[in-house]
Amino acid sequence: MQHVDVAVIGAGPAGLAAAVKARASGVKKVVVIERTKYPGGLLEQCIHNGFGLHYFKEDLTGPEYAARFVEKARDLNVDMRLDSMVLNISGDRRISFVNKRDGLVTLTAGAIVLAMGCRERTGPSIMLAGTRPAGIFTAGTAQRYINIEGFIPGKEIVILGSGDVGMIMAKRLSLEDVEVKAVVEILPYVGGLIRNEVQCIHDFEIPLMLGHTVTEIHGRDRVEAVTVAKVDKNRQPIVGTMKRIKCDTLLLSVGLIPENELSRMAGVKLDSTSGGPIVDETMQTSVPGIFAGGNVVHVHDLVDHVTEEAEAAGASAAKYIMGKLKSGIRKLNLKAGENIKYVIPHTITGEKEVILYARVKEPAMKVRVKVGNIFNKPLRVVRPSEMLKIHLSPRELEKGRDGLTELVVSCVGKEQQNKKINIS
Amino acid sequence: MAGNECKQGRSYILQEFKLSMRILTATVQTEGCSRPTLSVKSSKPLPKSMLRRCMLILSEVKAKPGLHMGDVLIKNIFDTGVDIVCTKEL
Repeated sequence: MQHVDVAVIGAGPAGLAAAVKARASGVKKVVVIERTKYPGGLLEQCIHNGFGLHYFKEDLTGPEYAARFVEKARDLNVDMRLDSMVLNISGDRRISFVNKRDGLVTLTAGAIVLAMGCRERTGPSIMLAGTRPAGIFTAGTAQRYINIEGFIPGKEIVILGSGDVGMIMAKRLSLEDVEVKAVVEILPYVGGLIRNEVQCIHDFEIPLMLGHTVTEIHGRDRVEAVTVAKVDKNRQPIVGTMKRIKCDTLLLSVGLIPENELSRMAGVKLDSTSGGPIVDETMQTSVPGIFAGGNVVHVHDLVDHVTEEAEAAGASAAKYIMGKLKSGIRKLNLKAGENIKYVIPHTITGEKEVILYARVKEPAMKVRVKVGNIFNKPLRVVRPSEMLKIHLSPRELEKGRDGLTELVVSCVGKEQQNKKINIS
Repeated sequence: MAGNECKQGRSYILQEFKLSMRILTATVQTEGCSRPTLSVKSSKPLPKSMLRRCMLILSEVKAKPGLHMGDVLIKNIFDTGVDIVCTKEL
């Protein structure tokens, strides 16, 4: 049976970053196993720009960002097994995958980095009522159709959900002269980044229906219309506010969830609030020798952060197989406090500087982000769609030395406001 | 203007007030290739009002195999000094 030092599952931005870092850290045999025919993951279909602003200080499109890492991986002789589907990962780090050339392959790995990314939520998981005609797609599927396969999904589109993928598709479709009749969002604020609200929705004068939802789909063989209604504070449709919008396509942009199938098979413990594996500051999961990074751990907004996180996972995997990964003496649990949905990583040692990623539950203005008694930073505005990055320095961690077993990360502020953009 | 955390925020807003500029990203059709599309972008931002006109030009383009990332498909589109370049290999 073949043995590799580090096996990375997925050749998207996370997998590529982890593999490159592992090789650069001195690991000899690094293999990346990817189920599609090309490396780059979903970046290949993200033909828009905005990638790499932090990591490269350049404004790149998805494919350009991916290409930088694919090139590095090639230069470093990372073994890339494309068109290969991983069927199983065991807790003792045995991987089974299959492809046309090699058939069924089983190999053992000194360490594994999980980098499978995430998948989109679908209609059934949000309980959409009505018929099931053709013409209902997730926004990411529509993105693949247009940008990779070369055809548009329909001529009159309604988009449910104002996540980044949905807004980016609103722009993409408008540019291809497709009529986007509305972006319907159940919350009173947009689900994605502000720059997308401006450059995708307002720029193209697409009606943005906040505080609304699709209550019914109409059409037998093909979508003919949707019914949209205003919702109340409990997100329930308000009778009498129903409006029928004629359309032939409904795109769903209603959330992303980490791909957990393989993580579960390997016995990795998951956290339901972040959606992915429970990890420590080295990005090691609950199973020794199995690490994770990128969207498989929690859904990111910026690929630059995916890269940083996955590099940490790759570096740790390298240290692990060299016997240099020290488990800290202390274990500080990071808890989500007021207005915080989750914090990554879940535990830290407090012995060296660390970067925490967190998301707020609700938008707020003039707040303070706190970590126990050791960190306190004022922020003008926070929103769920823009992840917080908290850097804890050695000096700050010193303060919390004695007797602590947990640190609560919270976001406190008096002004709770739904931010609305004024475009004049 | 207050609260901009990014250094480029100031120049972006000043430009927005004068004339909104946007990088154009899109795909073009291919010819003689197994992959049906090739992703492209404008080398620099274009005036927002010009984007649709540029899309019409792009709809006529048929990219052939052998193109590399950064290769120019359309030079100086509408005399703006901006090129349309490939963002992938074909």
